[in-house]
Amino acid sequence: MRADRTGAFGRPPASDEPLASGRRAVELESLGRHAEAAAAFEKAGMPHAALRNWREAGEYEKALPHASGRTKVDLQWLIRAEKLMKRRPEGIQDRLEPAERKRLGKAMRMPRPQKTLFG
Amino acid sequence: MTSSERFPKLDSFRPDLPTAGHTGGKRGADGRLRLHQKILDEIENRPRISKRLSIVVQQMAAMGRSTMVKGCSDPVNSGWRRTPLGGHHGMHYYLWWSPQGTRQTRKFKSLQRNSILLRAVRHHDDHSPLNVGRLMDYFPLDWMDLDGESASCFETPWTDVQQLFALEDKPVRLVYGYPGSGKTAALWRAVEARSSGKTLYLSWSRSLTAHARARFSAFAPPGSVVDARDFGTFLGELCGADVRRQSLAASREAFRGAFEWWKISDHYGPWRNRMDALHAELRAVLFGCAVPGMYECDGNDARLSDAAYLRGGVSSVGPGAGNHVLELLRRSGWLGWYADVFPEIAAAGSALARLNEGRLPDGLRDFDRIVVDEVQDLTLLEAAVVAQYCRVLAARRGHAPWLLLAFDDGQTVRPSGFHAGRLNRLLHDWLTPPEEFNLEYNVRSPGPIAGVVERASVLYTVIRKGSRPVDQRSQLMERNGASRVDARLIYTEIENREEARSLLAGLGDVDDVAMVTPESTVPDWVPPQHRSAVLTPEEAKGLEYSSVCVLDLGSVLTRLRRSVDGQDPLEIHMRRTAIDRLRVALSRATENLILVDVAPDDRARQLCLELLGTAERFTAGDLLELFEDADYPPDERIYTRTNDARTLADVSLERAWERALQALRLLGGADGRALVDDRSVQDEVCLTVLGIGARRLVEEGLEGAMRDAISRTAEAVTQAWGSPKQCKVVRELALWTADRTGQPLDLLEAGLELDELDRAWLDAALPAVQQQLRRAIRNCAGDAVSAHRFTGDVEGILEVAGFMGDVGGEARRLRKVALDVLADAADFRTASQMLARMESPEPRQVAIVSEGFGRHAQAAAAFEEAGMSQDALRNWRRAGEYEKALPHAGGDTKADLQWMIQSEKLMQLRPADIQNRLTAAERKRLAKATRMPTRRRRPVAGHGRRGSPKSARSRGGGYAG
Repeated sequence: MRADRTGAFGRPPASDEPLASGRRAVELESLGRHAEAAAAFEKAGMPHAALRNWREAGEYEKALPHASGRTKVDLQWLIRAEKLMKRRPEGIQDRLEPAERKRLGKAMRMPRPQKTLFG
Repeated sequence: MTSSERFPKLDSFRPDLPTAGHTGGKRGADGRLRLHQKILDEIENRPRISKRLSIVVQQMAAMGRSTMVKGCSDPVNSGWRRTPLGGHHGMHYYLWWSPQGTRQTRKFKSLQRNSILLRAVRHHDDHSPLNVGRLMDYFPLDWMDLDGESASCFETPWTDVQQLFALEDKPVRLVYGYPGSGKTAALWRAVEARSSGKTLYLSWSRSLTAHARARFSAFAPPGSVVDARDFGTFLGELCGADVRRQSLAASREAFRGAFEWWKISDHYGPWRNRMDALHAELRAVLFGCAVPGMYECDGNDARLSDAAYLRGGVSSVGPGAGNHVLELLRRSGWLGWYADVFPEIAAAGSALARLNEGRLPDGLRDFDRIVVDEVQDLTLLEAAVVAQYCRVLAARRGHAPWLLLAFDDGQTVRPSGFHAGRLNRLLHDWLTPPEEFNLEYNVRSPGPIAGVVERASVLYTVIRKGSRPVDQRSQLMERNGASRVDARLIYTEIENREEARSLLAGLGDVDDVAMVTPESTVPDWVPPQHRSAVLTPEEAKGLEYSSVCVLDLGSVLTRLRRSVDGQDPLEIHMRRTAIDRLRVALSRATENLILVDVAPDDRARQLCLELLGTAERFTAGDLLELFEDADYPPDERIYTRTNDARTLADVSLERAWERALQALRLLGGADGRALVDDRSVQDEVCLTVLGIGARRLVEEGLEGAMRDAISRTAEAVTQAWGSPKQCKVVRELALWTADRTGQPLDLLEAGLELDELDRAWLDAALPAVQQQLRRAIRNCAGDAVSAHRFTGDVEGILEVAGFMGDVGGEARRLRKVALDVLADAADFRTASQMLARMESPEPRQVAIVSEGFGRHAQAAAAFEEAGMSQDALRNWRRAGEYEKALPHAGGDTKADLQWMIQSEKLMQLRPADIQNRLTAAERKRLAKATRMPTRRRRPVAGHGRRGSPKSARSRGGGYAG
């Protein structure tokens, strides 16, 4: 588990319940159950961890309230993209010309992530 | 609305003044002739021959020879040509000349083909050896030297009246006069005096049309265009269908056949034994005067109504004979044979009907002047076609063309019923009152012969005035011209027919002697083997011979002098026709006019001698002796026959072919062994055989052995005396004329390879099938098998086919059709070659070919330019250009395009380096969201490959537009 920017666990909880949730969340995250972990982190008042887990779970919409800055922009774009894709005209795939398909495919293709020093 | 209301009388003529002074630029006559300095010295000393010389050099500049050509029998001078120039008291002077390719000129390698050296003017007795000299002794003549204007080397060839006619500013002018008075020359002069505009020259005579074409190509001012066409081609163009060419003899035969079929001989009445006259009456009057608007017509306007025909002033045969005509017409079922017997009259009726509706083909829309020669050969109906054509042109263009006409109604050998008064009325009522010019001088016939023709004209006094030709007053002899030329007038009396047959056999072998009958048929006593040697006036018209024997004139004169019984109109009508024929027969001779009478009675003899005036009397033996002494060189004998062949072709192709074959035999046959070692003579024979042979193949529809014989001979002639290119044309012509459903492109392309001189024979043959060729060419353009041929010289092909009008425009239309066919067949490589040949291709065509090559963006832009939105949409999409496709789209397509555009924009707004920040799950979800579903198989709609215009067209039934 990686440390959060504001500290490994944030501020100390006011009661035991958040603490229990936090522990549970850490456990869930370690099990790779990111959505449950994210919900538990939210309950534990650990928004950064929640954000991280919502994103690991691929839940843009849920991640967004916790995000800010560049991450927020990224998530907003992902949401818009997905909405637009959902509005794709029915049967368009059968009507596209090869050149259109090619251009669209090229436009939609995400660049590969750059390799970092640590892989 | 009647035709008269639709086309009111014309008053909208624009000035058409002659050009002052010489017009600049090079003309076709330039440089062809080279004149030896000595000739100028000669004519300076002998001004009387200068005018005749001027006419002769103009003929040479246009035609490559004069109308009369003599050779030199003396071996020292063989190869020189001689042309009589007249002079005092006999044929005193000759122009000595030589075309390129003769013994004299062969050594001048720099001399161009068809050049002519004019060497000397010599006294007729002077046969001393003539050396050609050096080429530098000759100076080339340009058009300024030749055109008879003030800067010319020679005296002007025009008479005052010819000049007045040519330079007059009245828009409708008529010129008339005796044979040889220079009517045709006056027309030519009027055309050549104007350096701008477009002139249509028309004549029924194809030899005259060919002559006019050659003349104008040499002398027409550079700023002007002159299109010379025979009347049949003109009618064909107006009707959009070829007029079947049929000789007068064939028409009469078909007519007799039709009447015999109906077995109505009991009803012939006064027309019994006058079938040719009946044929003429029907052709000239009943059908030939059927001009709606002038006369009441019947039978779909094909003929005069009974009342109109019988009313005075139209027919001259009288009511009795007229009623018989109508009765015979009814009994013979005329609608069944009319168009077969008189195809040209039927075509004229159809042309007039089209013109009355205002229909005018492209090729006839922009003429400024109409010139018609030999108008006496036109029926009133045909003349009305010309007048109506002028009115339709005026209605279309806002101003009327000028109309110049020439006629001699004393030479009406074609049954046209020509009547100067009726022509005048037509022009007066439909156009504007014509200005008339009478050419009084005879500039061609020698004085004594012109005198005989004039005395023959006195015979017109026995018929009533209304039936005579106009103004047959005494002709005047040109003071300085050929009328000073002497001629011999000979009367020969033959005791019996047997002796006459011997004389014919003897004269048959003599060159430059023509035997002419003044009747419409060859006399019965002429044996079959000599019948083809005897010419009727219809056949002889337009020909000239040194010596002419007119057969059995005494009996004709006796008949004409006999008092007319009660002024029987039919008899008067027959007499008028007989006198016309007589005058034509008498005016063919240039040196010796011989009347040969077989067993004449005193009256006949006396009438002949009166007609001749001061005649020498010869026996048959004297006559043969006279001609036995004549020693004609082979080249002269050949020229006589080729000249005959060309002129006879208008009346009988079969007889013209005989003459052409005679010339060929004199040359040495078709196996290449020349008896005459003279290139120009060989060319002359070759082109004549090809010309007549081609016309027979095209016009006569021959089959079997005759057709094979003609094509074999023509092919052999080209191999012996012509060129491989000509040989190829002959082969192609034989193939196409054998099966006219085939494509003519091989023939036309082969013709295109010939230069103008070598192709003249083909150009003279093809007008008879001009409309058929045009249709065949269009069919070829629309045929996938031949469409690729239109990447070639389409303009050239159209010109060879004799296309009238805008050749460039027609070529563009044909290429457009061919291009569509090629595109349909997905042959885009050829289509692209065709595009490259097109000056300003249509955007649509560019688009089709671009699409064919898969250049969709280029195609889409061109389709847009062509206003073809759906085709532009298809191509923009195939180019992957959503944005450009969007304005053309609607429905689902529009939604698709909008979505793709939005998607692409969104992708462009993607945060920088987002890929490095996405988690694996996010990346996976995004990839899933953006993945396009698999394309479903669509049903097969056509056989064309996807993406090709063919498939687009097969789906949508063609370009959407």
